[in-house]
Formats: sequence, structure tokens, C-alpha cells
Amino acid sequence: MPIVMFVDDSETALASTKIATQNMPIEIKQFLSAAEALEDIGDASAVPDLIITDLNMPVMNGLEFLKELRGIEATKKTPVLMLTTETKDELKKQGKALGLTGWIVKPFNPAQLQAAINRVLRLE
Amino acid sequence: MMEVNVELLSSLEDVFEHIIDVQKDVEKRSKDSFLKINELLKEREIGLDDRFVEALQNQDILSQQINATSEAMEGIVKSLRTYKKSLKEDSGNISENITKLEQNLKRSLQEAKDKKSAFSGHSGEEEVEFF
Repeated sequence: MPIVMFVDDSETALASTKIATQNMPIEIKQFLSAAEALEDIGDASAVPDLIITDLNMPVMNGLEFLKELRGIEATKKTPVLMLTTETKDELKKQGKALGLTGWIVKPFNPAQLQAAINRVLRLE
Repeated sequence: MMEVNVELLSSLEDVFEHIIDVQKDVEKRSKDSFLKINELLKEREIGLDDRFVEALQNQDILSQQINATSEAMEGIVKSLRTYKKSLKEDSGNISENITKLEQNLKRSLQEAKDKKSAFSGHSGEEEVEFF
């Protein structure tokens, strides 16, 4: 089963993504910070097949997290989606330059998030 | 005149600090309430419900908005304290210090407005973009 990692500093945001994807054939991993997620990637034998991260997080934001991921051999090419309230083109451009896969603006509806995951993981 | 100003500034500081306290409390209670409802739904095995997913996200947006205004008010309190200190220690430069205070207040307001915009998300049409 593909592993999808969600990273968001908000517990309610993580709860919303968990509910939205609960019927999908995926294994969900959730972390409240980029640092925790990176620690898991370093430890785990199974790297995630898709990472969905928030942008505005304290200490390490989503773009900084993406930059770190691109520097790790195991996640160099892992698809990453930004799930954020931000809509600025400049930030999207920065993400694209770092190899970001896509940008989803909150609030999402579950079908929309599921469709994005299906598209990236080619589940359908 | 200077004492009146200091008292007035101290009162403003107290008001802002009180609002910050209330906002932090509201933000925490709101988050805890949603998480409790989430636990209940899980226990009762109530499946996917778009309305609850939307409500959870709106709580998150609300929480970020409140945090942003709290941070702005913390910035304002800091500016008021700096100005108060300058009134006591550098009373010869009142005009210059007032200009600095005004600039700091404007900056705090602008930062709060920028964050409101950044944390609002889309306002109707869903946005998904692949690169």
C-alpha cells in the first residue's frame, strides 16, 4: 500500500486530511512538524510515496522542508504537494523551482484531495 | 503631560495584553472542541463527512487568523513599551520617537493584514494546480 505523509503544524488540519483520505487504499503517516517528518524519513526503511505538506509552519516552513527533501537521496524525486491557505504566485514559483509537484489551496473538499492523491500515485 | 502619556500608554498595553490572553484562550478552546468532536466521530465510527472536513479546516484558518492578530498586538505592545521607555530616558526627542512609534504600529498592522491574506485560503473556487 502506498505511504502518504502529511505534515502540518495544526492538529485540526491533520484531522481533516485523515478523515478525507480514510477510505483510500493508502497508509497514512502524519507529523506536526517538518523536523519530525525528516526524522521519520531518516529512520524508516519505507520512504513515503507522496508527501503533502503545509506551507506556513514554525521553525521550518513547507518550502524549506521541500528543499531538505530534495537534498536527501531517498526523497530526491518523491512527489510533494503543498496544501496551504497561501495563493501567491511568487510562492508557487519558488515551489516549482524546487521541484514541487502541485499546489492545493485550503479549504479543500475531500473529493478534490482524493483526486489529487490518485493523480499523483496513479491509483485509478 | 509626560505622566499622562505614560499612564495612557500603560492602559493601552493592559488592554492589548488582555485581548491577547482572551484570543489565546478562545483559540485553544476552539481547537480542543473540534478535536473532541473528531474523537467522538471516530468512536462512533461515523464515516467521511465533507461538512466536518470543511469545519475542521475552517477552525484551522480561524486559529491562524487569531494567532496573526495576537502577534500583531504583541508587536504593538512591544512598540508602546519602547516608546514609554523613550519618554522616560529620551524625552528630548519626543517628536522623533512618536514618528518611530507610528512607523512600528503601521508595520504591525501591515504584517497582520499580510497574514490575514496569507491565511485566508480560497474564497469559493477550489484551487488545485499541478506543475
